[in-house]
Amino acid sequence: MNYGLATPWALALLPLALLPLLRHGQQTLGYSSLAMLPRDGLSDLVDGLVRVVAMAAVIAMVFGIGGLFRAAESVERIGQGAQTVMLLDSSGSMDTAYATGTANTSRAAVWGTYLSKGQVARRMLAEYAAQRPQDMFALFVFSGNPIPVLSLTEKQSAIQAAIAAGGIERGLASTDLGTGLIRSLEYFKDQPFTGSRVVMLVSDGAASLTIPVQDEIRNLLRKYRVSLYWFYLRAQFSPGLDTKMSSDTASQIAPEQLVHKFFAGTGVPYRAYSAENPNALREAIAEVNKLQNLPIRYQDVIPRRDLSARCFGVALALMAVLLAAKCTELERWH
Amino acid sequence: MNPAEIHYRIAWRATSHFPGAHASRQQGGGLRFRNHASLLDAPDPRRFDIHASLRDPFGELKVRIYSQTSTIPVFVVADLSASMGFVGVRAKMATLAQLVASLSYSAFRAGDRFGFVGCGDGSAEPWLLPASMHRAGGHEVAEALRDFEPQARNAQGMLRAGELMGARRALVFLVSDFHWPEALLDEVMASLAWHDVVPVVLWDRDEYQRLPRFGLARVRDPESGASRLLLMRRSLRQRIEQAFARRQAVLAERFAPCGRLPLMLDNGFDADAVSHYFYD
Repeated sequence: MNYGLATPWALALLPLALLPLLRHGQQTLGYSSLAMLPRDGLSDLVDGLVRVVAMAAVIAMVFGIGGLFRAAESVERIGQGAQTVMLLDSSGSMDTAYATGTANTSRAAVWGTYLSKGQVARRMLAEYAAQRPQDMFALFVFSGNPIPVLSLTEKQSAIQAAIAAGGIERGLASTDLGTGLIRSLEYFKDQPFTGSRVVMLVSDGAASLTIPVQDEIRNLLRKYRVSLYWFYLRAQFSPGLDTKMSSDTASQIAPEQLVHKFFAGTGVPYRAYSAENPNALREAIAEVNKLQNLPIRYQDVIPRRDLSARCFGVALALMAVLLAAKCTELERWH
Repeated sequence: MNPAEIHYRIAWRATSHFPGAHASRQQGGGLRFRNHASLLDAPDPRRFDIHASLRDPFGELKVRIYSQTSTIPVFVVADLSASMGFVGVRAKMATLAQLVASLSYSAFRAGDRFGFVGCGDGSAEPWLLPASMHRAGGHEVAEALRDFEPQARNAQGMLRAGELMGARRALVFLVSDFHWPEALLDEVMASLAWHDVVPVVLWDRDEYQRLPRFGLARVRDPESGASRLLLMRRSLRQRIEQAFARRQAVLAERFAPCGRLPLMLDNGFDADAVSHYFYD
């Protein structure tokens, strides 16, 4: 535990704590002779206590003025579970309507009246994170460029806040799945393999990967031994991942089919879930549960904490004690 | 208005030549028969005693000799240390002033001489009113005492009081709260041993009986300036009362060898109480 003071010169006031030893600050009553009064242990104890309380109050106030804080520190913690990087597509295509309707529903949805793919994606991620409280999560958003949002942490509130943030549905134009994936995989760089690693890609997949990018992705997936899960969000009129068609057709109308094929061929554990399926989320969670849960050792940072309010609180409590003593003080003999 | 009168009496023979109210060693015009003497030794034919002269086997003429009643000096020796400045139900100095005024007047009425000695810590000149028949002498001292705030740090000056009262045996009212070390008590009593000392214990009910019921009281000793915090409560009140009761017993024990019990004045001045002290 490291403690510090924001304004250390305030300690110059500390000698004031000696004041209660020098001055009692009480109303004195003239008496004829103290020698006539019997010794009284309880009275002496009260006298000492009042002085000690007054000194403590002064000390607490001085530390409050000085701005006592507990310094930020990193603590090694041991968690249990998987390390999951959530990779969220935030391109403009994610703002379009999610495929809940049929061919008969309206084509041109009015903004705000429908559930967008981005909203669905964030809701799914939030649920998933909430179901796995012991895991560590990182959040990564990509569209034209990858945007790191949250590095690996197990603080559920931070994860949920990160997922909820950015849900403003104003995605950028392009989708660069390859760079996003590579950058998110670099989260695992130089990290000890202390638990299952999962990359959870949430995307509508309207992206194609060039051959060099594919090679790099494959290499990194193998190198870091990462399991890849893809929550596929189908657009309203997209054919989906599993519709049979030739690769030429696919590259024209459904590039995600090619991406799916590539992922399936990387040799790492890979599953694609269709978000249309209400059981998809549960299946994904069950799948991750099956992975080995190694203990994760990681450094947790406890932030710097300002203790001056607490100091003033203590001083206030002590002053209340002094006030009580003052209230019982006799100002006159009768 | 005249102060209340105190009637005092002594159990010893006065030695003064001046006729007064107290039994005396002096022979003279009193009512108390002492002995017979030859007319040649006491040439006062008015006291001729026929029966005694006839009974005398040598045929001497006998006269009766009577003891005269004489005056005595009455002194108030007051402790003027700071503890006497205590003001409780009544101010101790006010009680002292009343006692001085009353005794001065009473001494004047009885034809006795009155004097006053007030002593502090011995560093300052003591208050001294030499014994005199002056009627207003004590009154002036009383007026001065009423407004006096004693500051002395102790009562060591009391040891000098004996030197200031003259050689004649006197009735001495030693007025103090006697919050003294016992050594000083013994020394003062020894220095006044020649005199008839009436120890007047000036206490106040606020000091030891009418104590505050509950609360924190920081009491200050006027002599040393030290202060102590007291948590007044039932048990402490009882212990203070017990301490004063013990002190009273100790004082009585210390004064007993001097032939007098302490006269407690713990409820202000009461002339009748002082008179009762001499007559009960």
